[in-house]
Amino acid sequence: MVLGGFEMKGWIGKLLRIDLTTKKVKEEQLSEQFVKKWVGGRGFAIKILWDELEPGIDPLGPKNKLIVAVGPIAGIPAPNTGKTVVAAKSPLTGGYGDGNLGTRLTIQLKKAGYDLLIIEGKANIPTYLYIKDDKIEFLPANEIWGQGSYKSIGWLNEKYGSSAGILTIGQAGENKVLYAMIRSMEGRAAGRPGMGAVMGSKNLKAIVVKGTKEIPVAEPEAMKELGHSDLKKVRKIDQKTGWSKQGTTGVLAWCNEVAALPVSNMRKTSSKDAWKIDGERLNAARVATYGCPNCSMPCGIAILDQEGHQSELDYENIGMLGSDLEIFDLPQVASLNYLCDDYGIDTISAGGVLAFYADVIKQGVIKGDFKFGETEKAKELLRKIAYREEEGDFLAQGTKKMAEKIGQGSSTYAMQVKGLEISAYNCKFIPGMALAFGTSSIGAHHKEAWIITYEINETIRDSYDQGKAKKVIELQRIRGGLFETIVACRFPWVELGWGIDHYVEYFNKITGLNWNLNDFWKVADRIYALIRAFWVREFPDWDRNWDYPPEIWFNPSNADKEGIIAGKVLDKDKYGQLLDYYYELRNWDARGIPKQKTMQELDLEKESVELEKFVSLK
Amino acid sequence: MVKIKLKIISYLIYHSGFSEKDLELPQSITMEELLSKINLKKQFPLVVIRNGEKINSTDKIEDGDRIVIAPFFSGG
Repeated sequence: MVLGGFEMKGWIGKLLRIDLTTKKVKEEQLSEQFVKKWVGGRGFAIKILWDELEPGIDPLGPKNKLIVAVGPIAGIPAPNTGKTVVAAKSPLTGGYGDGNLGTRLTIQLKKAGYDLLIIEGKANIPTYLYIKDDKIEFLPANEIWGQGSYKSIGWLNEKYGSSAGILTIGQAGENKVLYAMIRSMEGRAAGRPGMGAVMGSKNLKAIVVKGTKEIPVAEPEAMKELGHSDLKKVRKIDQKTGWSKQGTTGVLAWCNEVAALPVSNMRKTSSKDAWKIDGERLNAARVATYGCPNCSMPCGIAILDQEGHQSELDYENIGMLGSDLEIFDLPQVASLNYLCDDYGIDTISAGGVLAFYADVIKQGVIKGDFKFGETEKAKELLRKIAYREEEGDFLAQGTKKMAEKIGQGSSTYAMQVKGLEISAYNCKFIPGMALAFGTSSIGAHHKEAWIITYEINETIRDSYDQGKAKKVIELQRIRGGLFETIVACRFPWVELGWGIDHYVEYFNKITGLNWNLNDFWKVADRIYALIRAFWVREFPDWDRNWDYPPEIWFNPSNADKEGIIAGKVLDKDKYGQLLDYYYELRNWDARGIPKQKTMQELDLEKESVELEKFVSLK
Repeated sequence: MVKIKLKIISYLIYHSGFSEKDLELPQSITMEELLSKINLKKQFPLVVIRNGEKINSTDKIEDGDRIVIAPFFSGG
């Protein structure tokens, strides 16, 4: 597409706006300015949600919008370009929410001729969308509504072919569990902060995409050669190291050694039984391997669960549904993971919720019938959560709301930040990683910054110096910015040391532009500022305390009694100083709000004027 | 005699050939020399921890140490 002399390559330059209420569909153009300013994925999502959502709307109401956005390098064969971002106002947190997943929809959406979908309104009956190039159909989903995601994906694959791009939800999304996920091929899932619930609230069961058009690439021959060659190189590095033998679960044994493992609602940091669920045991139990499109280092290690299903496990599943629940048996963890995948529930939040539930019962704060280690009861609770039955309705709200209702000091050990449950790294004595969780843009998630090795290997663990804040921002620019906007999986870089310059090269060869990393850092900083502005606009009572980890991590009585961090916890005053460093480096004020000048320098002048209606900018 | 406990993490076990063992050495050696001994020297970026804290390549290991050798994880 050519607009004003700029020929779009990589980007198609088109979005599809789909109104489920009226069944109206509209194609809209993306301008050169828009694509260069926001790049794709998360960048597109936050800009659209900022512009188009009135503050205060119900995230589960028809005014919320579901964004499905790919990036300019999406779908072109190259290391790990098979990912799509999903985003909306989060029902779990009330702020900005997103996720990304490997899915064939990435390639099909680009081939159908779109960079993103904006899904609005609410269908009057359970519906799925079928998009085939320029043809969009609203189809009744009665055959799959009420079914789990595996059956739904199977039914849609049979109907549309195994290469079709499919996003779907399970019963949890249909019933608006606040941490319901969007699901795709095999075990892939995204949208921790309730993107699946947003789909369910719109009576939207699935989106199916097939495309036949060519994706425009600036240097097609050069990129074809480079992409295929680099996929082979990444495969060779993986084979040389053996990384994918244990995949992400390789880190479990290490977390156990450095006292960072989530155990018993993160009250403990290691376990003598951790070896039973480590990467070595996982590899030994492997029955199949799955990967995302355009990936040559597949990390989806499937084992058989107790019921004989194939269940794809990674570190987060095992940490949160295993050690955090004191379940040290892989088939049992696999069963819980399978249920989460089928119902379409976020495994991290499910583990965090169940762990918190077991903890409040153990503390005697509420009455209930669930203990750590009770796998059969956990299975039943997951079913109740998916259907919002009995105590499942309460658990479906997430730990922040649960703790608010329970009271009695339970908020201090609800392991969440901004309402999103903390992922599987216990930071009771890892200050920089605690900051990473505190400042992650969607609530506590390690995907934006992971700093533990740096803290242990290159700094003093017990320090709160500016270098840690600097490192968090450096990683947020890469993980939360670059990878979330070009949209690619970060694992070749994170796990195999594949240089990030490669991604700049793919971007330039595909788009025809001549960017360097600084161009991407500016986009990243802009995105972080606008996401923060979104939160502040939504919450008139915004407070910098929302960038703090749970109170229990500062409580000396929660310190490990023995082991390498015995007697140590985070220092709240020093954390506050570390957070101040973070704000200073971002040129945000002491409240954690971007300054007016900062927003202007990031080309967010118009947005700053809007934000000033809600809060005075410094 | 220097007796230490050695724990190898993640894919490194496929290069060292073991995941955990007790090692007896006639005398103390440096961490770098230890890595050579177990076939892990200079193959991959490593993080080595002694009794929970980082150890440098020229530091000497001591009797009773628990040494954990891991890849340079950058976090899932």
